[in-house]
Amino acid sequence: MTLPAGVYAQTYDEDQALIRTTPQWVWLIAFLIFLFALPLFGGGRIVGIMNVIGITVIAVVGLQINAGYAGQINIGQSAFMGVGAYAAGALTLHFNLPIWITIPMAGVAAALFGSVFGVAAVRIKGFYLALTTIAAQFVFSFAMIKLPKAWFGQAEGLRLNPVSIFGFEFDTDKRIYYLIMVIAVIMIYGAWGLIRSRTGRALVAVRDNDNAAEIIGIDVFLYKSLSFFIGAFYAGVAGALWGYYVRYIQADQFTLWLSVWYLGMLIVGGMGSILGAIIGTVVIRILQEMITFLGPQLADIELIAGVGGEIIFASMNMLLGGIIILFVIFEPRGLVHRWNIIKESFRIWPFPH
Amino acid sequence: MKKVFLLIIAALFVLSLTGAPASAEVTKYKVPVISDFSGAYAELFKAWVPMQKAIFAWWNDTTGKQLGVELELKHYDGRYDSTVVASMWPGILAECQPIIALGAGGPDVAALQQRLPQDKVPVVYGTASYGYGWLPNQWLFQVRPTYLQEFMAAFVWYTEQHPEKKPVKLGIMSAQITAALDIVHGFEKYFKEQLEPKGIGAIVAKEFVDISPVDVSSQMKKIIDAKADVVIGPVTTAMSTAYIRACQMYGVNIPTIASPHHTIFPYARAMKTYDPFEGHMVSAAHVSVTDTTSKTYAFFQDLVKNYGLNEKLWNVYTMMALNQSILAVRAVEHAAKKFGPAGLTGEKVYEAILAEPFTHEELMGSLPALYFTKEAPFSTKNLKVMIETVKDGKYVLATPDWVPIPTDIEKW
Repeated sequence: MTLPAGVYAQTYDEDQALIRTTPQWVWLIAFLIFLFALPLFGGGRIVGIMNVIGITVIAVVGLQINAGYAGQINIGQSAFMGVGAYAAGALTLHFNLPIWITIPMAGVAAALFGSVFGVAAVRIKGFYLALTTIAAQFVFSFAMIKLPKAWFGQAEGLRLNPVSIFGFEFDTDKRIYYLIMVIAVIMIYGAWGLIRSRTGRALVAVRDNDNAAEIIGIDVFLYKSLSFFIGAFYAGVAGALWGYYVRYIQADQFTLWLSVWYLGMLIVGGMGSILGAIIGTVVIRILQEMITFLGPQLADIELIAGVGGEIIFASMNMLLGGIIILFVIFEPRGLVHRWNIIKESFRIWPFPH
Repeated sequence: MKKVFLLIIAALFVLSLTGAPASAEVTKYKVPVISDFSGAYAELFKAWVPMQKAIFAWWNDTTGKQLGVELELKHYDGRYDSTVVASMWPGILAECQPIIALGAGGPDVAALQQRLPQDKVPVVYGTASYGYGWLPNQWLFQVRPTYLQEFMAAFVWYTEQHPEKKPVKLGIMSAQITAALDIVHGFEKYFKEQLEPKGIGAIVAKEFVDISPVDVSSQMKKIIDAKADVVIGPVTTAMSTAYIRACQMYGVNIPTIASPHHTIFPYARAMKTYDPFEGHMVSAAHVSVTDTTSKTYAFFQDLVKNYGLNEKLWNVYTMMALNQSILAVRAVEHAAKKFGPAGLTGEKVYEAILAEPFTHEELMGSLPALYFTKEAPFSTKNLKVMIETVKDGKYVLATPDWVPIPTDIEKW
């Protein structure tokens, strides 16, 4: 990727910097101001959508580290999220711990659960690994409904009161929006730092060719397990936030279907890019919101309602699936690739790209 | 000519003084309906939506007009997904400022249950309840008690019809999902504490299957070996189909007890015959769809005639929407009568729901009288069911009377 004209690094840190120019700082700060000011002018629906996007982005960024950077396919991210949610809920309910302890611990709990599958990843890859991670989904559901009721509530699940930090209670959508966004920004910044570090380079080496990586001295076992550990940590944090947002945790909320959607978000956004994970999450969530808006509107149209609900049902899911297929056909490297092309074209304009 | 003209003007003037009374001011309220247009239960909700619309239109034209209240339904596609409902609900609150809402099922219960007391919006559900939802101080209201209570009413009735079989042996065939396991735990507690000590019934087998199994023959063998008299558990069309196939394979016919939308009706709709379910039972705390002499059926015909409802929508699925909608409109009616038509809020509707019972008549004969309290999200008094069965290949009432639900079932 080319840098803007006149921008060059003179030190290693400058070379590795994410933000290189003053305009980039301006845009970043403006975006952050916009993000945190959104509840002041955005409606309730926007805040609700952004809350779910914020939580999902954290889980999908974790999946990107695991699947996109380390090349370890994972269809159990939703289960890891569930582990985090239950851990946070149990710690809050049974030990009354504050959220600045429960959220990281939820991440650790999910990470430990996830790293068990990371160990399996050392021996198997591809399709076989995918099936192993699907097992995480079933193990999680089974465990949550069978473990003692005093621990995780079994079928009843866990019900939480609004959490607070230093007396500030997160009892409204707007308040919890700030909690979610702060944690999302921190986690995304951490992810960017991770992938630019030695660990990130090791993960990429393992993805590209694990045999060659081993030969040059990278501990493949360690880094494969670590990728699951980190990816699941992110999912656990997302799960904790989900639990505090909805305030009711039940195993049925964390389904295999959700894990598949997360992979779909990666594909649409672009594998192997943190920005791709973010773009994919936002685009797919907005598409899903459009579908939920469109369905009832179409049902109100006499002609369509007369033909039958099957049309709406089929067409909505075809629309969503079709859009994902179109992305894969016309932009297999994801929307982030398209974004990079646009950026490049802008930088060298008026010269052709 | 001029005189005639002046006379006409004068006549018109006089008429205008005695003209029609000014129309009463009508306060409009939006009622959000969380539906499923593109998710797992879109097929079911396709039938619910016209029923909901018709009942609200009927109420607006009749009682609503008298009270000066008009309810406008606004459907939202929750996709039967708690993440979608969670993201959508703040927008629903802002857009509709609802005084009452209609829910879909489990996912929105999960997404909304904890926040409804703060949002102060009562939500009405048309399905039966679960044990894990049996909590005090809820803002969700279910028109029916728990599935366990409905099943046990039929089970106890069955034991009374077959006293020679006492203790009647129950086999459980369940999926390993939260909702099904909740019912299993309820069975275990109730049988251990009440039915087994009294020699009425005993659980002899407990087998687990997939939620959509292809084959349950090995589980069925164990149930047959345990000599079960009745089986409870098939709750999906796939499960009930696999169950029937297993029965046919072993040459047995162990009757099941289920909810009307679980077994007999959906199976027969697909296979065009009730025969395999001969002797099986379904029970629910609402009027039977087999009874076309009921007040509810007459009401349905009125909706068909005057509100464009399709005749084919008289089935076990749409009964749930009918029950839900009728309770919702009557709840607003109670609130409007108590507090006046203008300035209604969710809190006022909530208070009205708890203040007075809903009579069998105002519920159009569909539900027994409902007495809501803060103890539970469903009525805790006057609980009864209607039991349907298949007899000589026909889907009929097992008994013409409402059958009481045992009063000794406690929360599990």
